[in-house]
Amino acid sequence: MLSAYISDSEADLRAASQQAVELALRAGGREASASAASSGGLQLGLRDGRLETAVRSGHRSLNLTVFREGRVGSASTTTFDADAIQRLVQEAASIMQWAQPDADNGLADAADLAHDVGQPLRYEPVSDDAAAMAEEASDIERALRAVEKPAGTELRTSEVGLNCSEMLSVMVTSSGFSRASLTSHHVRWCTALAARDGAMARDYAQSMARRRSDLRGADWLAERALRGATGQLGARTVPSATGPVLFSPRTAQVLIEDLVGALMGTAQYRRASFLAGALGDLVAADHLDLIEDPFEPWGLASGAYDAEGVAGSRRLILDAGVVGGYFLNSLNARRLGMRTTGNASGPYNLTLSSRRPGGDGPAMRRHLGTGLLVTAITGGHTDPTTGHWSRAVEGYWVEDGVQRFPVAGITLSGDMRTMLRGITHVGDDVERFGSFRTGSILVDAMHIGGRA
Amino acid sequence: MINPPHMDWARRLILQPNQLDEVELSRALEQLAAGADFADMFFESTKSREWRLDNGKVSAGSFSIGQGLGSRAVLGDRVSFAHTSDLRPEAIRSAHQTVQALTRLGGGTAAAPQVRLVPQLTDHGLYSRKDPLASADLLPWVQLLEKVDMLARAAHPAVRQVNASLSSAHRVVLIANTDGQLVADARPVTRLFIHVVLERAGTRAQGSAGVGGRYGLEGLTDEAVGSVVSQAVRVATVNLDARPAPGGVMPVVLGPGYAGVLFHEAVGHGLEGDHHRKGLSAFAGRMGERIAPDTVTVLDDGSLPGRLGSMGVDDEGTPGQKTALIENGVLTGLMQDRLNARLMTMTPTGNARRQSYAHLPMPRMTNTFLLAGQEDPNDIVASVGRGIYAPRMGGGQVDITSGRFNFTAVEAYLIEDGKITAPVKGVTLVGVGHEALRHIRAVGHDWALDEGIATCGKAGQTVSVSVGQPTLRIDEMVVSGSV
Repeated sequence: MLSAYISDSEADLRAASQQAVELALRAGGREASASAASSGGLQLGLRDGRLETAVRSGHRSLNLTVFREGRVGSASTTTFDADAIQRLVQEAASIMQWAQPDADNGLADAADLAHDVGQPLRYEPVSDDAAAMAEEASDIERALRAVEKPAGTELRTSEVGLNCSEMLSVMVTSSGFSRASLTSHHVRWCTALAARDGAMARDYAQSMARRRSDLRGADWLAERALRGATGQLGARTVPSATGPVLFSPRTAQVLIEDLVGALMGTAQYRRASFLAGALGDLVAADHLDLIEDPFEPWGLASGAYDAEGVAGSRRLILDAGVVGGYFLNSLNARRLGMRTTGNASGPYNLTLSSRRPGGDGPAMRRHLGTGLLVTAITGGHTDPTTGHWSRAVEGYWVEDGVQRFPVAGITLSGDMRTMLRGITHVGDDVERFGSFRTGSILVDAMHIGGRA
Repeated sequence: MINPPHMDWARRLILQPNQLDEVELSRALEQLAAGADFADMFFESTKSREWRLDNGKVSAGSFSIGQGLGSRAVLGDRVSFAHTSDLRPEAIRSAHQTVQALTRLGGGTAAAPQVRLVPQLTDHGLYSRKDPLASADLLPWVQLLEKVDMLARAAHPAVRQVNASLSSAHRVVLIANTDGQLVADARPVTRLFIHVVLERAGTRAQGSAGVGGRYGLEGLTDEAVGSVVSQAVRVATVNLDARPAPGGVMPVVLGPGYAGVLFHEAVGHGLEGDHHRKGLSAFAGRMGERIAPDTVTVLDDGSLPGRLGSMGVDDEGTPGQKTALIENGVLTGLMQDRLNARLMTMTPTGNARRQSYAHLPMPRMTNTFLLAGQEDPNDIVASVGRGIYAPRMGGGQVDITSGRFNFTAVEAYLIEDGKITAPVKGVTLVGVGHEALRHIRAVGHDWALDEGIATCGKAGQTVSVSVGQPTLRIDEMVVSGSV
């Protein structure tokens, strides 16, 4: 076995999946698909430099979906013994018998299966042990203490977290698909609680990667968290106004999430989307591209195939502001009279870019001129059907391109369709958050709710 | 056995299939506690079933079996923890070896304690001891969702899409600790959630609603189902006509029930023991202070029958109970688990909760609500010159350090000259906990809890809760909207 953290072998997982598929066909299924996964990892949590929690995790799961003439049933279990697999099959088959048929249900079309699409790089054996991770945590803690703070400001409390994990999964279908995949994952984070004159503020920084060497260093994390926390001390409200808003890279990802949500197959066929039927339409500023790439080496959302065994493709979701594609699985694709895009497990790596680059952070603030820089979105929601966007935010007030004072306790609202068209610049200050990569985003006009 | 008590469920589903008994568990605890001053084992066996109505058909269903053990050793304020879904004795020994090694990493050297477990035969009567998934007959599930589809489509001619999910779970937990406690709890949950999309002249709007509780399918009466359907359709109808809200500071009247998420966010999270021990809460060090008018009493009560936040015993074996958080405007209580209570020399309050065996317990809210006042809700609305009336909420968040909280209304109206007038698009309301409490002007007599679909997220763990309140006026809140 390659891994220190996974207790099952590929052969074990394949045997459990195959058995589930075979039994499902015997129980009346015409088609079936099963996937088994085993994962494990280690997480340490420190507060003020002292080890507080140490957690060794271990998960297993076996999922089965069985089809018969448009009827479908599924079941999952965390134990793989013979009795549990029997029960799994029996429950899935029983649901299949009672379910109402929908002709669009079924496995992915055989022609779409990614039997030999190459797996992008996603795995490096995790060698971290608890002692090494504790040492690394101390480095982050030391870095936090070392960051220079404004006069009169103290670092009241710090928290540091480290996590590493590995996952092995196997997928088998009755249509002949059978592949295994292995991934590794590392996270490091820290939070800083800063205090000055009785006021407290907290911020965090996080780095996530498939291999350890791609993680941000201790200094970067410490700087980020502490600068965010001290910067928010003494935050105040601003009068209600309508004006330009600059979203930091961390907050800009919320706009991409809302856009992606509107282009998901389920939202499209239900027409519960503010971009219902928008394929081929200009929906965003015409300098914007959104690229999806399933094959980026070491990408957090890279993969050779989705939960149905279908590969994605490198493609433009937004092409100069025009919708180039939806995110579809087989069921939603059939309902829409389209073909699956291999997104049964969600979107792959997405990068937003502008054909008119907006420059670095300071340049973006100059484009903003006078207005709100949003650095945290603390709550609120987007109505996925109407696109009405309403959030509680924090950030800074900027005047003539210069950051003046921290702002909190305000609301921000707008309409997603108007906001997407109103994006004037995307910065070169690109950062990656999970599967999204974007720079800061400048929107020409939004409504700020504050106190006069 | 049709109605076995809680411990019998645990024996049947957890101990017997894995050849475990009190003696075996005692030895395992002794191994786990080596180097530590307290240890516990949390076993879980959960079955759940969900059916979905999609595109006019009850065409999807799923079933899941989840079982596992989370083993924890505590030394001072340090916690070592390992979890496994493999419950065979050798797998448990291996997990406990891992915990021992982690405890030593934290400096633990204490000798292993002697453990003698005494089973606790609880029968709290807070919820049914029946397994909601016992029947193999799935027809009632399909029929209930068919009825939802029919009712929703009949409720309004503009209904285009009806989606719903109906789910039940039976979660049996068994807790054993080095104090000799061995206690089980079998918790049923059933929930119905409905989402509708209306379309009229090219304009679309959605509405959703749900109902749930610690019961089986029998808890979803015709009346309850009818009420959820009409709420979802009403919210969508209102949103078809909604216009942008005015933005800025204004009085806000919150309706009874789920709007009590205000107290969950503005008060509750700031009164969780861990946040106080770590000095993170804006309320830290303010016990005994008056922070609200004397009409304001806020309780957390995990012993309400049938509610999703209720637990016969919490996830550390402490009985669910009532804790006053604010009494007549004065800050009075914290919600505690064992770890934080011990470190703060306080008493556990039955608030230790965990998402699953794979998560560590933390102090969490159960059913948290503002008690009823005296005023007529109509008079409260009539008292507002210009403001917002928000009867139904989406979710909320709080930054416990600054006390800043926000929540989103999914159904809201303008109040003009004391009258509820035009519907406005979903608004986000922002405030600071202690300021909002001071600005509570009027508390109605129409107390209600939410319909039973509230969940709460903290440190990546989600648990079911209830929230509640009567109609309430707050004089000043920041409202999102166009100017």
